[in-house]
Amino acid sequence: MFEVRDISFAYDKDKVLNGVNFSVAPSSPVAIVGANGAGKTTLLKILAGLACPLAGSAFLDNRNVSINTIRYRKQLGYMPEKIALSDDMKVREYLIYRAVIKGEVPRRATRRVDEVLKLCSLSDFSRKYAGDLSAGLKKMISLADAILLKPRILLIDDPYSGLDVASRNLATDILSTYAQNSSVIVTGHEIEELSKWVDSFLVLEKGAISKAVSAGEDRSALGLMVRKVLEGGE
Amino acid sequence: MSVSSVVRSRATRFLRRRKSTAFIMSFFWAVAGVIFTMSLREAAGYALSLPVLWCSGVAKILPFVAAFIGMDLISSERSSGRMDMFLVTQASLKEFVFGRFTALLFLLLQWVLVLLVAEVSLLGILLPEAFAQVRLVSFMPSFAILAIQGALWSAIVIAAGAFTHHAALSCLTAVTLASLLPRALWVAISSFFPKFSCFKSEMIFDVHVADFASGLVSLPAVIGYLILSAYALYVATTRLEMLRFEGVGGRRCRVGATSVLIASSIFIASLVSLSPRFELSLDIPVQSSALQFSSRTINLISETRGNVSAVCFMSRKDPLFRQTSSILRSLASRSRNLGAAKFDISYIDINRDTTMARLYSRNGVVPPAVVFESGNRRSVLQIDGPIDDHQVSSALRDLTLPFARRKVCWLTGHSELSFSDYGPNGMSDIARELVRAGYENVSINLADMLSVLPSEVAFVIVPNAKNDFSRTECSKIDSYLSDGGRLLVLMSDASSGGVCSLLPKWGIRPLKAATTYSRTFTGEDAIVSEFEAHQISSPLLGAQVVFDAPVAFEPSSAAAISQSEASSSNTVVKADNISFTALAKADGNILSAISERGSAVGSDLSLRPTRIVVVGDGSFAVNSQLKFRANANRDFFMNIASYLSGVDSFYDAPENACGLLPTLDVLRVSRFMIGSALGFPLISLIVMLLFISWRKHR
Repeated sequence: MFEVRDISFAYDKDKVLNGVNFSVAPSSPVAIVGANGAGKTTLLKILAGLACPLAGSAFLDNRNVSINTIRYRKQLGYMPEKIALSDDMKVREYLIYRAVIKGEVPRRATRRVDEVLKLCSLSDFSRKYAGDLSAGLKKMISLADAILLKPRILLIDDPYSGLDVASRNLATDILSTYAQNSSVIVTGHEIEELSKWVDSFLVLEKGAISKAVSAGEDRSALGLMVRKVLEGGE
Repeated sequence: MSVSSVVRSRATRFLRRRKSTAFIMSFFWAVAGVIFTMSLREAAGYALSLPVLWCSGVAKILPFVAAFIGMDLISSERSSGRMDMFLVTQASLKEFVFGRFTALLFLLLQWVLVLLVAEVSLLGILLPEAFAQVRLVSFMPSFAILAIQGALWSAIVIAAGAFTHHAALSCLTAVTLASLLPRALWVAISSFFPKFSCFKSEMIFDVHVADFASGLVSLPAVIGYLILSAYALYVATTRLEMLRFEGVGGRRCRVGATSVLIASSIFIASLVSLSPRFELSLDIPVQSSALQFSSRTINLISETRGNVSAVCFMSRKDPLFRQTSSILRSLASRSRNLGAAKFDISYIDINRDTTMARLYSRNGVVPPAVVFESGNRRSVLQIDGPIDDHQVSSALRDLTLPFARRKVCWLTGHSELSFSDYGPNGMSDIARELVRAGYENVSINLADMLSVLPSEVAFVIVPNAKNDFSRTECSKIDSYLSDGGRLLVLMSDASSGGVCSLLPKWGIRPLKAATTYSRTFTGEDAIVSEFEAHQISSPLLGAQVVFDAPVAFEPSSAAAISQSEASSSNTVVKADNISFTALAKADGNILSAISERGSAVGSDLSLRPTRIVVVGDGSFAVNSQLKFRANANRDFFMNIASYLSGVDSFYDAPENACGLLPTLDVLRVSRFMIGSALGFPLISLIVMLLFISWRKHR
């Protein structure tokens, strides 16, 4: 179980996050939605260890992740909103590099990278330079990087932006597959796509979780419910 | 496979596959080529070694090469967001920083190595006379100091990149920290505190380069560079670690980390400033090593026995402390190798060891000085400039020889050069050398009616007299010579009335004809490295003596010549038993000669032979000549002094005296410059661009 307890954050005097609380169980992916500037990306950066909260912390299996950060990072997969690849490297080469950096043995890293490339339909581009690819393909490479070592916690920031329909479906398939064994936290504005595989939506408003919408037995209505909530209805 | 090696190979590939790297490397190869060629031209006639010349030029541009190549190694990671992708992994930032650092350092060393091989090859092909006495292995210490300094510059580049998002700003910061700021500070300190401007106002980095390149390896300097490099990497790691502390919540961590950085910088500064106090130097025997001793010094050392105490009585802050300490340690090491006296070196700092300092001061020793003691004898070497092995050997000689100070008379009154003139055209330097060798310098004006040349003087010097001698003066000199006097004449004008009128009577005739010489530095001077067999010149075999606008001599025709030794054409014995011996010749012209009368008499007769030595260059031993050019001039002069005064201990030039760089033909130098500053960089650029293109499309 991955828990976020009372996290607050400020860049200056004004707080961006003010006591955010929620928990994510494996196989119960959570989507954080909200208006632009609500603090979704900041929250994910804090959970990824790229920003320091003013108060509160995240807990993995009831252990404060800020105490043993190395152990925590080993179990973390993170896909940022802004894609940052090494443009001078070929796709396969880049992913092997990332796997080794994350602590995988080179031989196993190669095998795993080939699997992920196939999974993300990137095999055809594996020998191309990352810098020569489209923004959508770069997004898929970034997703492949996040799921590379089958992390326990997957933090995905805005996965659908810039993807065409086929890629969106593919990303949904991949994320829903990984969500079965990992604690996934995803942010984004694409409610329809997210509602296909996410179990609950948390609405981030004025720095706090204002509302939570969970999928009941009827998943098809989830998207509609979230949209209503976001538009101000009940 | 460790993270640092993965990061290193990734960064290396990133740098090598960039076209900008190829352009930067080629550009700086061209700059290095221009600098080296200009140094070669400027160094003509100086006893500088090629490795020192080459290394000094490369060392000055190395910070720029490192900054330009590695400017986006960290900053681009930050600006692109790739740094965040690294920070979310469990990999250590230390390994990341170290990996990037080693990648930059290896590329920098490759740049240096390729440059070295290219320039040495071009030198061998295009300017073989400059390369003749150099072995490739002589460049190893130069490469070592460039590697050590390169490590520091690379670390500074990495640290600068950790502080900024922008490559250009990172480059500017690195160049400022590694080159511009230290040099500006050095100039400022040298201006305001002249005592700090040690080693001829050279900056400490340049001093290290010159020392290492000539084989003097200072271990504290190496340790200092390593400490500073490690500290710069630590700063980079801490700064990148601070990226995790974004937001108000991380302010305390950021302040804490910054405080640690400031405190550690003070600690590191103290550590590095303390390191020179533990002077441990290695003397690597490369060509033109600063610590190569002359054979005379080695002979003197080998003859010393027992224990010799050498007390370095000076402040450790004294600019000359390091150099003095180095030469003493080398002396002790050489003596140990020769199985001679055991040198016990100790240091008395006038500020710290006040009791001992007072004791020495009470005994009349004025700091800075080196005090040699053996048994009951004491010899004090006063330090008024960088000391060399001649001074040390003279001090050692004083320990063994009984005290006897003989007079050397310097004639005045005819616009002669003065031994008390410390300017470039004065002869204070050689006069000091004479004092060290046990002579006393006195001046005498023969125009004074009462003045007479005393017969007990060791010899008389006529140092470039420009005005005519009166008949009375000539008569006094002639009388002195007739009584077995010894005369040294330095002359630069054969037509002047000076002593020219007197010389033919004693077997020497100056020639008026000016000649150009095949071996020359400036076109007006003559380089002589082949000497006739004589006790003055034989020890200098192979060394180079420079005569500026020389006057030539020939045996005087006034006296009847009996060609008794016609087979050895150098020596002509005249009717009245005057022998003429040529000492130094250039293109068939005799530029220095000896005339001796009475040397053929039986050794059982107590007769003092008359000896006259003429040197066809009035400025042969002026301060400016002796400072940089031709150590052999000094030795030649001192050998003449020994010969004239009848001392059999002779000076011979140290090995590096042979290493005077020749004047190079403009056309061939231009060819070398085109090769090293245009041809080689251009070919390298094309090869690198083709390689990058091939790798890209493979």
